[in-house]
Amino acid sequence: MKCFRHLHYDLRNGILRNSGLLSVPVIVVIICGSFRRQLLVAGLTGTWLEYLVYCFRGCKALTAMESGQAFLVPVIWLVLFALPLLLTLQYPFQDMKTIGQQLVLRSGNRVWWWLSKCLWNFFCTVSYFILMLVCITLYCLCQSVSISLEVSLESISLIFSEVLLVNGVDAISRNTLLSATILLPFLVMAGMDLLQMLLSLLTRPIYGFLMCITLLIASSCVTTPMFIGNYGMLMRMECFVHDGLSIQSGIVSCLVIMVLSILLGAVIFKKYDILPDYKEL
Amino acid sequence: MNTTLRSELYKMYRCPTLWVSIIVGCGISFITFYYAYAWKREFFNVAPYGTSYEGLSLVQYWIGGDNISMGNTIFYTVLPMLSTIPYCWSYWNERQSHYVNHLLIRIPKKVYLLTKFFVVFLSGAIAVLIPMFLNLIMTAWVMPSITPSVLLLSPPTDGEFLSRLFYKNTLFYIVFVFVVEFLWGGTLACVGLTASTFMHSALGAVLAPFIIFIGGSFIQISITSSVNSYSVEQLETNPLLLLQPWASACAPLWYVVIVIVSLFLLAYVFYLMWGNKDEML
Repeated sequence: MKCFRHLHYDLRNGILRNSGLLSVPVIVVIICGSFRRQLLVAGLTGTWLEYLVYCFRGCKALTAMESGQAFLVPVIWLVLFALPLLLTLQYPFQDMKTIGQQLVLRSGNRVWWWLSKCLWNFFCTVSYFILMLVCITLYCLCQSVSISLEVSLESISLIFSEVLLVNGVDAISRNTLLSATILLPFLVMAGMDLLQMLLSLLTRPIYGFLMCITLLIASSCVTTPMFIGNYGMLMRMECFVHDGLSIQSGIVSCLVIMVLSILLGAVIFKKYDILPDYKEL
Repeated sequence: MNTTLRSELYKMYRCPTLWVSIIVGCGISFITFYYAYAWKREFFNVAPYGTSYEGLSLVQYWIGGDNISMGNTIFYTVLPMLSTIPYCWSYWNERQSHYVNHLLIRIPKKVYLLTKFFVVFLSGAIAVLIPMFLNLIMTAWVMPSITPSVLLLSPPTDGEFLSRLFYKNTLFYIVFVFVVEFLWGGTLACVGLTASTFMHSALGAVLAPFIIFIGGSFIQISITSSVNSYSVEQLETNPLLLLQPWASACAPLWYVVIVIVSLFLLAYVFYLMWGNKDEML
């Protein structure tokens, strides 16, 4: 019950009053506008799901680049994954510096506070993701783009022009496509956000953010299950490319990271010094 | 002025964030060195007996010349954060803790602001230069300092950053890269300092240059990916690529220096303007 009271407070202050969420529509419109122009040049119209595939396509790994080719981090993908990190970066620790200390003392149990922050973090990612999907839907409606879960070979070839596709689009089942396009990117975001909160607890928020951004950039460079960001890139999935990663292993990895972050955080928070330190960052 | 400067330098030197930033930068530069070492081993494993070092040069594989390693990609993407973490948040912190009140009754406000600006510039530049210098030393252990051949058909090509110097005098090329990255590090730290004059949190000030550069790169990519008018003669407009010595479009030295100086002057003017307006006492 105490955890839910904490959560109610966090949802009100950490999500409803989070002005950073207002940047989501702007970012989505820029990405969708860019993709729409590419589709028009190719003489295609696209569907709702193809817009989503474009958002999470990622890039070819640096190790797969040809000699002399310059590598640039997939900025569109990085922005989509870095934004939830920014949205969940400051609130828990700012709360701890202000009213959080009182809440921890009065609730009598530190674990409730930590669990409510983990739930808040998860719901914040859910709101971000839903807002993103809603914005894409609204954009598609405004531009008369079909709201369907179909993808065409022409559009997919345009989106994945950098790599050689393993199968025809028809060979990919709808469940696989939806898992790779919606479920897995969401789980990667949620896993990264919880991991960032744990790392921030261990060090400081800025170092937690730095480590997570480094992990995302490292994921864009090398295709390996060790770097969780790979599961958020459709160009690294086995349903699209050779030697790709499996969706099942991605789901398991993300869930393991989420559970470990919550449990380790709860253990660490029991002995965490909650008195504010104004000396530095 | 001298006492203020000495005091600021002492505070900067004693700041743990400076050392954390340098250690993180050195860790990333070690990844770049490891790639160079692994590349050299692979080269001699597959090359026939008696093969010389033709094609392997220090200037191509150190952090300022390499464009194929994960370490390099991470280093230049997080460079805005590495330069702001050391000390740019100190102005915000001193205002919040009212430490500045004790200073301003002893020294003129302008002296305080100018000294802070100079020391923040220095902190950002140091945090970038030390990892680069360490990488240069480490790479020099495994790679010979020979002038690369133009026949290698590798970047940089004509018109790119210091392309003529790269194939003529490697020592001067390295010195110029150090100078440019020194200016980038310092300027980015000053941008963070300017942001700290109006931001509500130190974290926001530290992240401001990173957000500006990622945001700028995001907009540039979104525009250029939908316009198929790429020209080799076009000047580089991606801020993230301008940070590194390798760019995918033309980035001659004069252009890079103009961008840095403009950013520096903007940061300086707005910092003095907002800093002077600020009622600190």
